[in-house]
Amino acid sequence: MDFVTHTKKIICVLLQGNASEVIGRLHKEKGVNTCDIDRGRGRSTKNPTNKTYGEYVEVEVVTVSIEAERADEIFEFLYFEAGLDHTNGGFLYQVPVVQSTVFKLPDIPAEEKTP
Amino acid sequence: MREISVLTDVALITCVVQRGYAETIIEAARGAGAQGATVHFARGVGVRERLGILGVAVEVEKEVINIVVSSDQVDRVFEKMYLAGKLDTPGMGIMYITPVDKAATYIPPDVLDRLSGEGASRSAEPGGSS
Repeated sequence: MDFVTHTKKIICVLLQGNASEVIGRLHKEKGVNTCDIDRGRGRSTKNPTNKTYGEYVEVEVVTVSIEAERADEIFEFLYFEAGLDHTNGGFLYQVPVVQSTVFKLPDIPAEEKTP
Repeated sequence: MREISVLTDVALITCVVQRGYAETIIEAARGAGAQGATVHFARGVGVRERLGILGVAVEVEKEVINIVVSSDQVDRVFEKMYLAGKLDTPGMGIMYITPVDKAATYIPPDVLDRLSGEGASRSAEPGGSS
Protein backbone atom coordinates (compact mmCIF):
# COMPACT_ATOMS: atom_id res chain seq x y z
CA MET A 1 0.00 0.00 0.00
CA ASP A 2 1.35 3.40 -0.97
CA PHE A 3 0.90 6.05 1.65
CA VAL A 4 2.47 9.32 2.72
CA THR A 5 2.88 10.67 6.23
CA HIS A 6 3.76 14.30 5.58
CA THR A 7 0.42 15.64 4.48
CA LYS A 8 -1.70 18.64 5.37
CA LYS A 9 -5.38 19.25 4.91
CA ILE A 10 -6.43 22.78 3.99
CA ILE A 11 -10.07 23.67 4.52
CA CYS A 12 -11.45 26.76 2.86
CA VAL A 13 -14.93 28.06 3.72
CA LEU A 14 -16.16 30.21 0.85
CA LEU A 15 -19.10 32.55 1.02
CA GLN A 16 -18.91 33.65 -2.58
CA GLY A 17 -20.00 30.42 -4.27
CA ASN A 18 -16.97 30.09 -6.51
CA ALA A 19 -15.64 26.79 -5.19
CA SER A 20 -15.84 25.04 -8.57
CA GLU A 21 -13.77 27.77 -10.17
CA VAL A 22 -11.23 27.60 -7.35
CA ILE A 23 -10.64 23.85 -7.62
CA GLY A 24 -10.52 24.19 -11.40
CA ARG A 25 -7.68 26.69 -11.02
CA LEU A 26 -5.98 24.49 -8.44
CA HIS A 27 -5.94 21.70 -10.98
CA LYS A 28 -4.90 23.85 -13.92
CA GLU A 29 -2.36 26.17 -12.30
CA LYS A 30 -1.01 24.09 -9.42
CA GLY A 31 -1.60 20.54 -10.62
CA VAL A 32 -3.59 19.68 -7.48
CA ASN A 33 -6.19 16.95 -7.97
CA THR A 34 -6.86 16.04 -4.35
CA CYS A 35 -9.68 18.38 -3.42
CA ASP A 36 -13.42 18.23 -2.93
CA ILE A 37 -16.36 20.51 -2.27
CA ASP A 38 -18.95 20.28 0.50
CA ARG A 39 -21.93 22.54 0.77
CA GLY A 40 -23.55 23.66 3.97
CA ARG A 41 -24.56 26.66 6.00
CA GLY A 42 -22.45 28.99 7.99
CA ARG A 43 -22.80 31.67 10.58
CA SER A 44 -20.33 34.38 11.42
CA THR A 45 -20.00 37.80 12.96
CA LYS A 46 -20.24 39.43 9.54
CA ASN A 47 -23.37 39.76 7.46
CA PRO A 48 -22.52 38.53 3.97
CA THR A 49 -24.15 40.00 0.91
CA ASN A 50 -25.18 36.76 -0.76
CA LYS A 51 -28.20 34.56 -0.16
CA THR A 52 -29.05 34.10 3.48
CA TYR A 53 -31.28 31.75 5.44
CA GLY A 54 -32.15 33.59 8.57
CA GLU A 55 -28.91 34.17 10.39
CA TYR A 56 -27.12 31.57 8.27
CA VAL A 57 -25.62 31.86 4.84
CA GLU A 58 -24.97 29.23 2.19
CA VAL A 59 -21.32 28.25 2.14
CA GLU A 60 -19.09 26.03 0.06
CA VAL A 61 -16.23 24.23 1.76
CA VAL A 62 -13.21 23.30 -0.34
CA THR A 63 -10.99 20.65 1.24
CA VAL A 64 -7.52 20.13 -0.22
CA SER A 65 -5.17 17.34 0.75
CA ILE A 66 -1.61 18.31 -0.06
CA GLU A 67 1.93 17.22 0.77
CA ALA A 68 3.43 19.28 3.59
CA GLU A 69 6.14 20.76 1.38
CA ARG A 70 3.54 22.47 -0.79
CA ALA A 71 1.07 23.39 1.95
CA ASP A 72 2.23 27.00 2.34
CA GLU A 73 2.12 27.57 -1.41
CA ILE A 74 -1.42 26.21 -1.73
CA PHE A 75 -2.54 28.02 1.44
CA GLU A 76 -1.39 31.31 -0.07
CA PHE A 77 -2.95 30.50 -3.44
CA LEU A 78 -6.32 29.78 -1.85
CA TYR A 79 -6.18 32.87 0.35
CA PHE A 80 -5.73 35.26 -2.54
CA GLU A 81 -7.38 33.46 -5.46
CA ALA A 82 -10.50 32.53 -3.51
CA GLY A 83 -10.90 36.14 -2.42
CA LEU A 84 -10.32 35.61 1.27
CA ASP A 85 -8.32 38.83 1.42
CA HIS A 86 -11.57 40.79 1.19
CA THR A 87 -14.44 41.34 3.59
CA ASN A 88 -16.91 38.42 3.56
CA GLY A 89 -14.49 36.35 1.49
CA GLY A 90 -14.51 33.41 3.86
CA PHE A 91 -12.15 31.53 6.11
CA LEU A 92 -9.21 29.21 5.65
CA TYR A 93 -7.37 26.85 7.98
CA GLN A 94 -4.83 24.05 7.82
CA VAL A 95 -4.71 20.90 9.90
CA PRO A 96 -2.12 18.12 10.07
CA VAL A 97 -2.87 14.67 8.68
CA VAL A 98 -1.24 11.62 10.24
CA GLN A 99 -1.26 9.46 7.15
CA SER A 100 -2.89 9.41 3.75
CA THR A 101 -2.91 7.20 0.71
CA VAL A 102 -1.47 8.28 -2.60
CA PHE A 103 -4.09 9.46 -5.07
CA LYS A 104 -3.38 9.16 -8.76
CA LEU A 105 -5.70 9.86 -11.62
CA PRO A 106 -6.19 6.96 -14.01
CA ASP A 107 -4.15 7.10 -17.18
CA ILE A 108 -6.92 7.87 -19.62
CA PRO A 109 -6.08 9.31 -23.03
CA ALA A 110 -7.39 12.79 -23.73
CA GLU A 111 -10.72 13.00 -25.49
CA GLU A 112 -10.55 13.51 -29.20
CA LYS A 113 -12.05 16.80 -30.20
CA THR A 114 -14.65 16.56 -32.91
CA PRO A 115 -14.25 19.10 -35.69
CA MET B 1 2.83 43.85 -1.19
CA ARG B 2 0.17 41.22 -0.58
CA GLU B 3 0.09 40.04 2.99
CA ILE B 4 -1.70 37.27 4.83
CA SER B 5 -2.84 37.72 8.40
CA VAL B 6 -2.02 34.31 9.78
CA LEU B 7 -3.75 33.23 12.97
CA THR B 8 -2.07 30.64 15.14
CA ASP B 9 -3.04 29.07 18.47
CA VAL B 10 -6.43 27.99 17.17
CA ALA B 11 -8.23 24.67 17.30
CA LEU B 12 -11.05 23.04 15.37
CA ILE B 13 -14.04 21.63 17.22
CA THR B 14 -16.07 19.13 15.23
CA CYS B 15 -19.42 17.97 16.53
CA VAL B 16 -21.59 15.30 14.91
CA VAL B 17 -25.17 15.30 16.13
CA GLN B 18 -28.61 14.27 15.01
CA ARG B 19 -30.26 16.56 12.51
CA GLY B 20 -31.94 19.50 14.18
CA TYR B 21 -29.60 19.91 17.13
CA ALA B 22 -27.01 22.13 15.46
CA GLU B 23 -28.83 25.39 16.14
CA THR B 24 -28.87 24.93 19.90
CA ILE B 25 -25.25 23.82 20.00
CA ILE B 26 -24.05 26.75 17.89
CA GLU B 27 -25.95 29.19 20.10
CA ALA B 28 -24.15 27.73 23.11
CA ALA B 29 -20.79 27.97 21.34
CA ARG B 30 -21.38 31.59 20.40
CA GLY B 31 -22.39 32.31 23.94
CA ALA B 32 -19.04 30.92 25.06
CA GLY B 33 -17.13 33.14 22.64
CA ALA B 34 -17.04 31.32 19.29
CA GLN B 35 -17.19 33.74 16.38
CA GLY B 36 -18.71 31.50 13.73
CA ALA B 37 -19.60 28.00 12.63
CA THR B 38 -20.26 25.94 9.54
CA VAL B 39 -22.73 23.09 9.34
CA HIS B 40 -23.29 20.41 6.75
CA PHE B 41 -25.48 17.34 6.64
CA ALA B 42 -24.22 13.79 6.73
CA ARG B 43 -25.44 10.25 7.25
CA GLY B 44 -24.24 8.22 10.18
CA VAL B 45 -24.17 4.49 10.84
CA GLY B 46 -23.19 2.47 13.87
CA VAL B 47 -24.88 3.34 17.10
CA ARG B 48 -28.39 3.14 15.67
CA GLU B 49 -27.89 -0.50 14.72
CA ARG B 50 -26.34 -1.34 18.09
CA LEU B 51 -29.31 0.03 20.02
CA GLY B 52 -31.69 -2.47 18.42
CA ILE B 53 -35.35 -1.46 18.73
CA LEU B 54 -34.34 1.65 20.66
CA GLY B 55 -32.37 2.71 17.61
CA VAL B 56 -35.51 4.17 16.05
CA ALA B 57 -35.02 7.09 18.43
CA VAL B 58 -31.73 7.96 16.77
CA GLU B 59 -31.93 10.07 13.64
CA VAL B 60 -29.95 8.66 10.70
CA GLU B 61 -29.35 12.10 9.27
CA LYS B 62 -26.64 14.00 11.05
CA GLU B 63 -25.46 17.55 11.21
CA VAL B 64 -21.70 18.10 11.34
CA ILE B 65 -20.69 21.36 13.02
CA ASN B 66 -17.22 22.80 12.55
CA ILE B 67 -16.05 25.66 14.72
CA VAL B 68 -12.57 27.18 14.82
CA VAL B 69 -11.78 28.88 18.11
CA SER B 70 -8.69 30.17 19.82
CA SER B 71 -6.79 27.73 22.01
CA ASP B 72 -7.65 29.87 25.03
CA GLN B 73 -11.36 29.36 24.45
CA VAL B 74 -11.43 25.82 23.19
CA ASP B 75 -12.09 24.05 26.50
CA ARG B 76 -14.87 26.41 27.50
CA VAL B 77 -16.57 26.30 24.09
CA PHE B 78 -16.21 22.50 23.95
CA GLU B 79 -17.84 22.08 27.35
CA LYS B 80 -20.75 24.40 26.51
CA MET B 81 -21.36 22.58 23.23
CA TYR B 82 -21.22 19.21 24.98
CA LEU B 83 -23.80 20.25 27.53
CA ALA B 84 -26.07 21.97 24.98
CA GLY B 85 -26.02 18.91 22.73
CA LYS B 86 -26.63 16.55 25.67
CA LEU B 87 -23.76 14.44 24.41
CA ASP B 88 -23.63 12.56 27.70
CA THR B 89 -26.75 10.73 26.48
CA PRO B 90 -25.93 7.49 24.61
CA GLY B 91 -26.44 7.83 20.86
CA MET B 92 -26.69 11.61 20.84
CA GLY B 93 -23.47 12.25 18.99
CA ILE B 94 -19.75 12.77 19.23
CA MET B 95 -17.42 15.74 19.28
CA TYR B 96 -13.67 16.13 19.10
CA ILE B 97 -10.92 18.73 18.86
CA THR B 98 -8.36 18.82 16.04
CA PRO B 99 -5.18 20.90 16.28
CA VAL B 100 -4.94 23.61 13.62
CA ASP B 101 -1.55 24.62 12.17
CA LYS B 102 -2.76 28.03 11.10
CA ALA B 103 -5.80 29.91 9.91
CA ALA B 104 -6.44 32.99 7.81
CA THR B 105 -9.26 35.32 6.93
CA TYR B 106 -9.68 38.98 6.15
CA ILE B 107 -9.03 40.99 9.27
CA PRO B 108 -9.72 44.73 9.13
CA PRO B 109 -6.52 46.76 9.68
CA ASP B 110 -7.81 48.38 12.87
CA VAL B 111 -8.60 44.99 14.41
CA LEU B 112 -5.23 43.65 13.27
CA ASP B 113 -3.41 46.52 14.93
CA ARG B 114 -5.30 45.84 18.14
CA LEU B 115 -4.48 42.14 18.02
CA SER B 116 -0.87 42.54 16.92
CA GLY B 117 0.42 41.80 20.37
CA GLU B 118 -2.09 39.06 21.08
CA GLY B 119 -1.32 36.25 18.69
CA ALA B 120 -2.15 37.46 15.20
CA SER B 121 0.90 38.02 13.08
CA ARG B 122 1.47 39.72 9.77
CA SER B 123 3.85 38.09 7.40
CA ALA B 124 4.96 38.61 3.85
CA GLU B 125 5.30 34.87 3.46
CA PRO B 126 2.38 32.75 4.66
CA GLY B 127 3.27 31.24 7.95
CA GLY B 128 6.68 32.84 7.76
CA SER B 129 6.57 34.55 11.11
CA SER B 130 3.81 32.56 12.75
